[in-house]
Amino acid sequence: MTYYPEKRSSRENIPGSSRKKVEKKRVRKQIFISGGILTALFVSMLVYMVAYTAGNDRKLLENEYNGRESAMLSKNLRGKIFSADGEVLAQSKAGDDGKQVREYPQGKLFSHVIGYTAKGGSGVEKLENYQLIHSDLTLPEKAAYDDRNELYPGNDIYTSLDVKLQKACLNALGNHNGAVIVSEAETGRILAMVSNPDFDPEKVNADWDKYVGSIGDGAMVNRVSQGLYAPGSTFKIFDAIEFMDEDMNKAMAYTFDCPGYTTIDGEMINCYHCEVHGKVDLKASFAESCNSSFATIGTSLNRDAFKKTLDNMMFGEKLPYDMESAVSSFVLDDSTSTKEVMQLSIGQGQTLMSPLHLNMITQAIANGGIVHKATVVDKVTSASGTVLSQTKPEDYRTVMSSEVAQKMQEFMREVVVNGTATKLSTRPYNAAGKTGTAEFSTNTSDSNVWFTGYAYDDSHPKVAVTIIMEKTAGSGGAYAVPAVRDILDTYFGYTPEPGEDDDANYVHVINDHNGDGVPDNDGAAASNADEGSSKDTAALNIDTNGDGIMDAIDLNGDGDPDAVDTNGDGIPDTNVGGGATNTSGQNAAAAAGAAGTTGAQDNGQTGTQTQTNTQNSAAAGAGAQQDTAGVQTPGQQNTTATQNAGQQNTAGAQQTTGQNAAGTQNGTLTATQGTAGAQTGAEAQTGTQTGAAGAGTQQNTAGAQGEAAWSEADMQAAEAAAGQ
Amino acid sequence: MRTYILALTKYGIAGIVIAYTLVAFFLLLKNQDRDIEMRRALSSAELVLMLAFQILSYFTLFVALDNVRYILLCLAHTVVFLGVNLLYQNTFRHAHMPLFNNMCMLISAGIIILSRLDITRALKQFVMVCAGFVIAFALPFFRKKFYLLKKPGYIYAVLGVGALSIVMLLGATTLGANITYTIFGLTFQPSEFVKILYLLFLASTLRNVQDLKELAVITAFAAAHVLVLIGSKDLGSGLIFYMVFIFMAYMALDEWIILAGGFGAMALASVVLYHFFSHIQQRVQAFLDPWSLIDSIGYQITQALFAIGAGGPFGAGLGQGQPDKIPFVESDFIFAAVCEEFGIIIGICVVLLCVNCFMHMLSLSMTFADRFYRLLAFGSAVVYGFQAFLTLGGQTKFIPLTGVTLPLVSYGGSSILSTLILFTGIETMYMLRADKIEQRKRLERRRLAGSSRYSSNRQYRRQMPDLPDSRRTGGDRSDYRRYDAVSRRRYGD
Repeated sequence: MTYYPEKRSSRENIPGSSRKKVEKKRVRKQIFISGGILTALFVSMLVYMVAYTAGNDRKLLENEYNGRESAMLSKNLRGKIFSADGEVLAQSKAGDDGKQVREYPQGKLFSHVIGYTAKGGSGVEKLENYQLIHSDLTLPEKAAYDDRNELYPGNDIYTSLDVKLQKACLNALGNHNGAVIVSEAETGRILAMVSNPDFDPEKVNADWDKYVGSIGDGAMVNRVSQGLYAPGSTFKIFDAIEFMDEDMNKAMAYTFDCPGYTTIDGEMINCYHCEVHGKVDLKASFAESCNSSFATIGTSLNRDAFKKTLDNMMFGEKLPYDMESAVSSFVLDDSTSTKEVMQLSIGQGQTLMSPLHLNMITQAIANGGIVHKATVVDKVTSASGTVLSQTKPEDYRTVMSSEVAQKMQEFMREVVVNGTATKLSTRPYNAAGKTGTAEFSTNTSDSNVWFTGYAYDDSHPKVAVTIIMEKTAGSGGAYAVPAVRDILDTYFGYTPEPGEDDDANYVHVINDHNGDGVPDNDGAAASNADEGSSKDTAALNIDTNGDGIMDAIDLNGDGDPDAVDTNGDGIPDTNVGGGATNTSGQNAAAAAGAAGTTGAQDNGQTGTQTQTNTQNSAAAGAGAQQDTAGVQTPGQQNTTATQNAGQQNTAGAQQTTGQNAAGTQNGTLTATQGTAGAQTGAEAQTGTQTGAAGAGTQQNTAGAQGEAAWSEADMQAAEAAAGQ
Repeated sequence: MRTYILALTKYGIAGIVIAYTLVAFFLLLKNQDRDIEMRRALSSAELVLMLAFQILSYFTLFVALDNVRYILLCLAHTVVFLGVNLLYQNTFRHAHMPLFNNMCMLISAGIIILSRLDITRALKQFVMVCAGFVIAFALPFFRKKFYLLKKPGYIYAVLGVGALSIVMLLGATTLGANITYTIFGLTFQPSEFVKILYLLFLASTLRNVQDLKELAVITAFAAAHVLVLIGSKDLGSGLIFYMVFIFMAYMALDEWIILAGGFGAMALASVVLYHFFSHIQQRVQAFLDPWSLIDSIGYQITQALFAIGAGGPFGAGLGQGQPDKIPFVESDFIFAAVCEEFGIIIGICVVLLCVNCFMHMLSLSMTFADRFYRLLAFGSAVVYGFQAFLTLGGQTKFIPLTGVTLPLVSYGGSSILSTLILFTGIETMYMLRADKIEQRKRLERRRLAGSSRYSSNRQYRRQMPDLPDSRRTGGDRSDYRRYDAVSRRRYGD
């Protein structure tokens, strides 16, 4: 009987003496092959095991089916969260019943960004949950806690947030809903992040149903990162970037003659308050926020290129931010109509952005074109202070060339120096930015106002600030800019002299009519007596024309009338309910101010001042605000200072113009407001108003004026006026 | 104070296990080294390390869980293992200590982790291990009669299939697989013992296989085993039996096509079986994406992964993790518990020790000149190695779960006994060979020492009375003759 393998080898006539060797060799080979296969399987398995657990250890621990996390919670005391300068923002205390209680010493101030721990958690509490429940103390330190029978304290998180700045942001918003974000332009660190309305993070469990149910309010939504709003005129940033990107020479040689409105392909669009900007180049268009100019630019841009640019600028994608954020969007393709493109150019229509997104773009402009990862956490340390990890600034993407960024910096600077944000020009620090007003309903007090910009001086790193205030009755320049100014004052440590700011209609704390920061002690008007400020009572009412009727108010107490108050009730004339009294004498102010000035500014900066007061409203074609009675000549801000607030007076006749509101998103809620611009009184809407789309232009005029808002005569008058 | 102790013991245990693993692999490399003294010294080092491991582990458990039973168990464990070890190496001159030490180390780790999970089970396991040691001792005494095992051939197969069929028809169902059988209150798993019968069957029939026809017959019987196992829904064992057949057939016939074809056929069969068994479909789904099925069929493997990931390199510490959250942790997921409490480093060492045992068995089989022993040893190696791979791979989500346990470590009396028999079988064969080598050397020496009286075998045999009695046992003579005759016929002189 021959063994099978030998049958084979015997064919080769191997001599008997070496058969043993041959067999040995054969066996060796077989064993090595078999052994090799199985060993390879084992080794691959080991490699897989190590790689899998090492790569997923945090995910595994955070899985809710993993009971070890709750075990860890009972072993460790949840770590603290600090602000950048070491103030405690969140801490835990061990209760007698073994449960830990989370405390927030700053109350509601950081409710959105720090978050809460209940119901799965949110904000930094959720982001750094792993570190907070782990304790990386050294052995001797742990032993010390064991001896005292105390829980090991978890690791601490140091954020980049600043308490003072956060407070300033919240105050700046005042009673308005909205969002503010302050960040470092060179590194992406977020210094302050406020969203209003807010909530009490210590009561999340108790008030859960209430908060979740308040759909209209969305208190728990972080409007900075999750709110989507129509960018309004701030979108002109993107128009300008694309324009320069396509052809820098053409962009630099660009000029436009603005008569206050423009018509493209039969679609008409107005500048804010139909203001006639005259001959403007790209820089001036930007600074003045000229809708007509940008509508022209917008429709001339190459759609594919523009779309690519916007995609590169993070539209349609998740932002480089570790916590949840909304995705900005726009609609632009071959089928988009001219009207829609015009709307897009002025940031209305279906365009939506989050404040965080706009802020990151602003940072990029400020630092030469690079978007950095937005971070809130600076470092993680053990409870005894040993640094475990330090966040380093991370470049995310280059969104514009440094040349374009340079130009944008110049433009933004011009906005402050000569344009719609001159309220910031009086400060020793250098500020630059862009205002925006997005009107979203027919109600005149329904605009969302934006400001986004940056500031720097010799001793502070560059900061980028973005603010949106919902439902204000005015423009970005009137509301958002002063708010930003207060925030930047806090950052740079600048205290304004009393009376230095002449914000006629900006009340950053409700009812602070003389703008000294101290609230009026009553809401209604009659006395405006602020606590302790003689200025308030003294120069309050003035009688400018000497007829014995108080018809003006001197808000800053320097003796010159700042605002018209025809019914002498102490409140600058505004529309609502002012009643007939407000209407009369209106034009007195107009007479007072020469072309284009409103009585509002009496510090002599007529021309320019008024500019600041006119905000380029986002609404397309914010139409003319006319003040009824009497002749309205376009191009003039007649009326009162209230103009700036965008409040129009008059009872009755006044119409607002088509407000088209883009649907504003409040967090996840799409508050689509705004339908077509309503027209009261007479008619004519030329142009259509439709809700979200808002094209809008309309003029309505009261009474006498019939159809088209602008008659030939008016237009000529406008031009004439503009010519001055 | 307690904190320091628990931390120190964690690192201490890791150090000991790493040291043991290094020594084990060093010994493997120096397998054929002539320096016996060095090898003896290293084996003694292994013994010392193992005892240190046991003592430190039980001490940790005592400090962490505050239970005096751990100290008692420690005493019993240490004394028994030390005693068995010393007894073993001194009773059998040619005992292969590296393999024996590894076996003891793995068993110890098993008992320790079981005592952390469930002391009662640990005690039961300890008792079974002691019974196993008795068998381990008995077997080498019968080594002179081992040759008798070569004869039965197909009878083994008949017995094996028969036993498996009985289980399939009458056995109790554990989670859909009929694998256990209870007699007189003791639950045992026949497939574990049939494994041994199956190995004997394959070794005895394949050792003289002459042509493919004979191979076909052998294949048919092997297939019968596999089919009955599949019929009992014990798919893991079925897979092991199949793999063993493929590798042993390859070893016997030296045709690589057997390996290639075997793996190919397995792939094909898996696909077919996948369609027929919902059981398999579930296992595959749970393997591919357990996270979305985490509250149903993915539960076991995800809990195991949580545990493996939770320990970190040095583990949570004995008694300080939560391995009890893993379902079936004592049997199917013992490795996950080891990783959680001992740490990934020790987990890797355990895997490496299994590989080390496997490699030792392979290298031993390589040295056996006798085909039967060679095939038997090789088959044992494959059985052990492949089963270890299946269970470890399943627990780490490298392959789908197959329902087999980790030999020597997992809880299970039948498994311990059968694996001990396997290991000791190889030890015995090694001793047989060592005996023969020694015999030949002595003969050689005598021959060289001169005296023509010893120049031929026949003369030597007549001189038998000269040999010291201790060197002579009954079977020695006939074995020697047979060996010599065979070798002369086959390989010439």
